[in-house]
Amino acid sequence: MLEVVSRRLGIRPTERRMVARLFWLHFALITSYTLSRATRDAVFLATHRAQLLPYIFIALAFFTALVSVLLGRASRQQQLQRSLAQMLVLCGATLFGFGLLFHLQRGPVPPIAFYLWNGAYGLILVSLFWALVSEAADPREARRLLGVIGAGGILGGMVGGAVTSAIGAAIGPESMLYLAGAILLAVVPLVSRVLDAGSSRAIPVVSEPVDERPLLRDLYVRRVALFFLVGGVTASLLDYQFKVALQVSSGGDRMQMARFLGYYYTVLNAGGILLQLLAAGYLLRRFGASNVSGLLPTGLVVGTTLALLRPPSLLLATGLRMWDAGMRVSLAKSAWEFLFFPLPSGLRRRAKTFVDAVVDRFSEALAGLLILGFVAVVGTSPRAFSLMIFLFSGLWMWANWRLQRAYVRQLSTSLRRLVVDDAETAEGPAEAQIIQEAHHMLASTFERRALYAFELLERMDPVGLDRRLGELQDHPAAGVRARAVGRLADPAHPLASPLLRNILHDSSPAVRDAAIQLYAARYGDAQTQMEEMLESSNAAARAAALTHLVSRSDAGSEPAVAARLDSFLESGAASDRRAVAQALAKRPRSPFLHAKLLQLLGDADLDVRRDAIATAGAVRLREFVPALVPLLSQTATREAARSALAAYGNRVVGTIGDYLADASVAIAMRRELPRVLAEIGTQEAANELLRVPFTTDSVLLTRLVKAQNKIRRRNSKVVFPRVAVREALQRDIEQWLRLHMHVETWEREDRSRARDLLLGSLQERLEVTFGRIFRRLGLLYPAEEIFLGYRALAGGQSRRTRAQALEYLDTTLLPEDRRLLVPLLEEPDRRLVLAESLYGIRSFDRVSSLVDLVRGTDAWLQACALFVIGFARWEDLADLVRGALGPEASPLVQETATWSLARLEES
Amino acid sequence: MKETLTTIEKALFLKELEFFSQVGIEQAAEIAALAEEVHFEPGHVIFQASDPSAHVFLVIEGNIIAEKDGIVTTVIGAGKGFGDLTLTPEGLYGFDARTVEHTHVLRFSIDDLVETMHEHPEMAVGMVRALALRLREASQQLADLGRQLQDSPPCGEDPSS
Repeated sequence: MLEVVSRRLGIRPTERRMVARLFWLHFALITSYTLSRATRDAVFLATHRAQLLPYIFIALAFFTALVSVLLGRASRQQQLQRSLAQMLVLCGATLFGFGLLFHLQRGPVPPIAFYLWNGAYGLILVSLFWALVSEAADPREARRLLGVIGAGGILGGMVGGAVTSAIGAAIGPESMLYLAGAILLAVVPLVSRVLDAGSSRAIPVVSEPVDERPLLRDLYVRRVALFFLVGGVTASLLDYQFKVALQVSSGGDRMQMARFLGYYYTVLNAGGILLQLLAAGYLLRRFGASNVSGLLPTGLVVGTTLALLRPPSLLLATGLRMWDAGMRVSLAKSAWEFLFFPLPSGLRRRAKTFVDAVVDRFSEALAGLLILGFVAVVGTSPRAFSLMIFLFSGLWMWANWRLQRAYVRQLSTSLRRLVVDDAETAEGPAEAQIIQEAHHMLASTFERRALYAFELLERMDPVGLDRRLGELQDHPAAGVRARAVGRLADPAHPLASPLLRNILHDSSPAVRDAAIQLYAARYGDAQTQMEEMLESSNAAARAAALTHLVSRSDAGSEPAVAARLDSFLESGAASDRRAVAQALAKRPRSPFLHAKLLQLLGDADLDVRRDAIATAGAVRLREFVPALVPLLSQTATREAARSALAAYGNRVVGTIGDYLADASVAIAMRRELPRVLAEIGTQEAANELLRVPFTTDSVLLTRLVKAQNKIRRRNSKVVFPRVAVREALQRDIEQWLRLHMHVETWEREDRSRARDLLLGSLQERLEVTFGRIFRRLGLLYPAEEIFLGYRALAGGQSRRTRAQALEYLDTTLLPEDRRLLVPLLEEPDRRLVLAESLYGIRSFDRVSSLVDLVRGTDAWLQACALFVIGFARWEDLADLVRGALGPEASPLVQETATWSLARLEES
Repeated sequence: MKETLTTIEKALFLKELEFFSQVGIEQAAEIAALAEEVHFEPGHVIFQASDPSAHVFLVIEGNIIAEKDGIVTTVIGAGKGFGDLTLTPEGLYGFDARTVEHTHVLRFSIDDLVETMHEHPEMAVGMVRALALRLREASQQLADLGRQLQDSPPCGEDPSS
């Protein structure tokens, strides 16, 4: 029975005990407070006139602020549970004290003192309670649990009211304070047991350093405070309107008013508890806290608009008041608790107390002043009063809208802080390690190694590399010095000009070559130097001169230049062929001279090929494209070919797209094409990436998405059609679930080399697919925040950080995207259910998993599954292995299937 | 002993080495596909100190003796790499490598390996770690040797006196 109720209410078995304790604690607090509030009103009205109340409200605002500040300071370094327990003891004892005082002395001062104390302690206790809830449950859990915990408070209000009616008159209001105090003292032991010590929920003594800044210096806290201030004023105005309408309608008949209020509170509490138990959790999960929070002010705007159009009536005033009060104790109350989650723990508690105790009271005082001013200036016109409420409702809706925007930003900031904090405690990211190693390697005296580091840093840490360009001019390796000069050749580079003349005297020809090109481009006296060098016996010097000749000659001297190029090409030395390839890069487009490049693109020497590729990229003649694309599949020329093709820009996008979409093109070549399109980075390039039909090659799939991310990062104006992205997202999620099922299966199997290989491969795929899903989301939403969400969810982060990330996604994603993502965000046990219900994917056993993998289209996983079969010698699956040996199978699959079959036949 | 390993077997072998500990298993298979599997008979000279360096070798099975000027500097066993680990083409190996028994190795061209590092920088991290470990081992050996030399009595002296 308990299990069924818990399930219906969305409470998980591990949460039951905590929720029950929080529910009863809330129940007790509100029951006690209701009893003491009834006493407060009774003893005050018995000794003072009601007209004194507006002054009491104002005094109460200041008194509450003072008490909350003093208590806040006293309990700042304490554990939250301890603070709450101490407050309960203090308040319980004080209630007993006031009970005694009322029996001993009947003067006018004790009722005022009690009114003030009651108004302050009630809010502070409740505020501390909710601060405890927000520490104990993360935002994700809060969506499910706040409804139930909040219901405890409503039930407490109902029971408190019923007890007051039943025994108040019999024992006297003063005696009810003993009962109220006893209830508080009775639940003190419960506070320390709300959270099991040592569990992951246990709250540290001081979870974060206390933020000493004034609260209102924080923009987000200001927005929250404004929201509650305007909301509080609106509520007080509605309450006043309701009471005036009631008084007018009943003609001041006390019995009639009491009967009406009886019905009113019954309906209000019953409606509130039903709403809280049945709808709060669902609505919060389905629409998110920000939307639910907006329901109350939006409803008021609608209601007050109606009130303006129709004659004033008790029904309308009651409806509005009931909507406000009902939502405040149920849905809105739960939703508003979320507003404090993104604040740092040290600030959260202070902000919560400040809003609950100070802002709330000040809003009442402000409403009192407004009413006094309104009556003095405008009079008692109900329609004019309705107009004022309408204006405040609109203002509140606006404040809500501003707050929700700030909430998303605050979530993002909080997520960033949590992810970074968590990362600092874990091992540093791989990229940072690589960059650090690359900076060490850059100092190496081995040119190749230092060049490798240089290239790595160009891609991964260009800013860090630029900082070292000055020192690299003295690097022992000429290649590094040359690359540094090349990087400085950008005229816009701040380090360029002061170094030029010194570089011309470098001992290395390669460095001089780079410097001469730069020098010739900038200064007029280069010609003389070039002619001397053309006759040099030094190959590098001749190369530099040839470059000058090719780049400076006019169209009429092209035959002579071609002859000089031929003589270099025929010399047989690779250095001369390289000189030709490099020199042609400096020539403005000339089909006659550049035709010589085609033979160099297929040269046997790798360096010549690389130079020719670079030149092809610089010249960008269309006839080079078919020669460049195959060079992408060769490891040694891949990077150069990629840069060369990217240099063509939009002109080559269609051709690249054709190769990319063509399944008959070698996969090694297709895998490189997304990077080319990413480097081009235009809308047309993005369109070509989306034109690719669905592929099962995991590497290509990931590179397609990475390329799209890169384009978006560089150019935010590029648009990725939501429908196309969403379709791809759905496919990825389905694949992720399928992989998840396979992982579950193989985690249960006994360890072996083959099982570890398959499981490791599945987990790698799972990780890559997970990353791809977030990369796709990054095409539709702010990429940086989505990346933070990915980091928070990908593992190694704390429970609260993960929950914060989920809350961010829930708040930011459109409902249709959120629905797609549900299987990812759920707990593992729920995923299995969702996989079957949403995609018809059932759990696998060992054999069905192998069958699914071998018959699938992922060549690597096929090969791993075949390896497992052969390794374990599962002869029953021999037919499955034979079936994988089809002509369309990849070489890897064929090789592994043959090996597997041989082992099965051996056995 | 098996004559030929499948790509997957090669990948599994690579993943067990420190060099490739940082790369994924599928990437290891891609790298494995670049390797050439070679068997050497006992006493085979794989390269000499003066040979231009072009390859890096990983020992799957067997032992290699590294010699410099006729002095054995180290014995390289299964799971260890040798060759020009500075990855400097046009350099020289700087030592002789000779097998002492039937030896089974994977051979990578330096160019392929360097290009693969461009594709998978995480491999470079593994490589730096492996080299650092080897350097530490060498330093420890040197320190041990120094201690032994210090502790040993001078020539001709009676150790019992």
